[in-house]
Amino acid sequence: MVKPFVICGAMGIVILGAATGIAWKNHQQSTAAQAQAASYKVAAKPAAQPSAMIVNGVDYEGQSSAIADPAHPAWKSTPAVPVLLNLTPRIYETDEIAGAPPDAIIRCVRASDGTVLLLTWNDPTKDQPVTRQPSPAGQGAGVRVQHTQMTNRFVDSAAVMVPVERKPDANPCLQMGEAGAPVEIYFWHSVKGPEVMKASGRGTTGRTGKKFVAKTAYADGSWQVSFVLPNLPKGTPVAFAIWDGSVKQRGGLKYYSLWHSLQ
Amino acid sequence: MPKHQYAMVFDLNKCLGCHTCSIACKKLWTDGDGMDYMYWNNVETRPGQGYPRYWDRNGGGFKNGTLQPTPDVPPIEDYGYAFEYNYDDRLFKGKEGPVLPHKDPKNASNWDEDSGSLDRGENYYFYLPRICNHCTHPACVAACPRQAIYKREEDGIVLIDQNRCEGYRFCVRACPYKKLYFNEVTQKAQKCIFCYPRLEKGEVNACAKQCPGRIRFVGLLDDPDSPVHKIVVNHKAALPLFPEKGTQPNVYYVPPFNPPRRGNYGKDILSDPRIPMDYLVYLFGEEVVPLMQRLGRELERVQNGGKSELMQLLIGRDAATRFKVATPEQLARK
Repeated sequence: MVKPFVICGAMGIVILGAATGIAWKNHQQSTAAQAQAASYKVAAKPAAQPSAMIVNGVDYEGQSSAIADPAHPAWKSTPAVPVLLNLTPRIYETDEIAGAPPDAIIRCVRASDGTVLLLTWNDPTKDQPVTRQPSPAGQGAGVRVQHTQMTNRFVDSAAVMVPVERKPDANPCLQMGEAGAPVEIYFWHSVKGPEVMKASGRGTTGRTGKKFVAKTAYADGSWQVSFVLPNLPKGTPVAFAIWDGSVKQRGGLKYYSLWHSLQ
Repeated sequence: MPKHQYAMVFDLNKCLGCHTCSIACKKLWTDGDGMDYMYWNNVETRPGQGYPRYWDRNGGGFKNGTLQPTPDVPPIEDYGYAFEYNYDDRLFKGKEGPVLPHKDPKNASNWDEDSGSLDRGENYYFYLPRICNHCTHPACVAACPRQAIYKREEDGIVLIDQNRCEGYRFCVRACPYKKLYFNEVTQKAQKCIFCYPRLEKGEVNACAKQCPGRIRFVGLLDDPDSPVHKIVVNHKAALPLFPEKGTQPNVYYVPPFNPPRRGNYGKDILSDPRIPMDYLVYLFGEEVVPLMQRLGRELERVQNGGKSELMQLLIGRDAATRFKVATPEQLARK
């Protein structure tokens, strides 16, 4: 199933490139598939509509808590699917375009009590400043309070977006869902930790107060983050986002993928 | 537009640079984790670098209705990091040596205090106390993609919803006055709240209440009985900072005269000013020139034994003269 995926992925990029046009002109392409997409002639009509990218899940007999560890040996035998990422446009024209989409892969395991997604991407800079949790009432321990060490550094983050309701005909808008098609976002922030957000379109993202389990590992210039989600039925669309703190990504400045289909 | 708008007026002629306002604010609001470097209220010497350093030269605000954000969030070095003294080591653990800051101080909110500048061989400077301007068109509100910042309908106070804020800091870049601060411990932006919990209890802002120089006037700009309405609207005796930034600030300044230059006997204070008028124009715009002339005439009248309602008001000896906190009934009215 890996080969068809790559073709779909490349076609996905072509469609995206055609749809968003000039905004993407300057973006560097980092993966082989993207390089392939760049040379593709849009004039040739695709033989068929590109299907959603497919992530085949592997069944795992055991609890999600066991497999959540990125170092768990079961991940080694789980097929890795490349995730094609794109850089969102700048927010202000005066800003420089910074960053290039990293190589990323996704793996999926179905445990007895949940679906676990392991997102791996390369990021030579680990932007996870060590700041302790605020003390009770935020008033410091004794006389001294915790200091703000830096005001202008940003942190690495990643997220998995899932529609609240699966509709057979259409996925929600990639930009945080839309009115009538809300999404849940499993957001992992390297300082604040994991948190479930919800949204129905750009600017509507809000906290649900719910937490989820995410386990992380950083080694050799690569992040691994596992997302422990509720059991997701086959055919559920999922989309991914990655933020690189070293190029000041946050909020709408990020790398994002198209919808993938969990199978 | 909010129904009402709180405003503050600072008479810069009366500011003695004592920082009591900054400390009143710090003790009340910014003594928590991650807030160490923040001064929601600061007092900077002008001309000078300001706090954060060079905030006035780095853009922000609007140009023809378009946001002009600064390229980046100011680094902590531009604010000056807070330093702690090793009192424990010296006083309680018997260690030798002087009490020292834990880091070598390189900058602070009043780093170049009383330096000022020179004009024809004579030094001049004045103090500029600053809080959030609670602008009528806040750049921070326009810049926040989370809609976490809002302007209160009842009194125009601009607040950050700490539950919605994600610490993206687009607001910090957008504000031309750099009056939003990032708390790295909570990963959220924080700012002056115009002491709204005090106002709601009928008590005036802590910075204004504690001011020994009694330079601050507080009230609703749209209340004809409030001191700020009288100074700003009736007498047109105060101006906002950098009006060209397009945010319509609601903090106003009565510009400073400074004492006469040496050896200028016989000349009035405006024909040979100690502070070059260009510098006041830089801060407050062209309108400052006729305003200074009006103020000068009022001053002269009082010095010659006459009466001036404006000068009497600016003396503001009593709290009742300087402050008029709105009642809930007043705020509820349109």
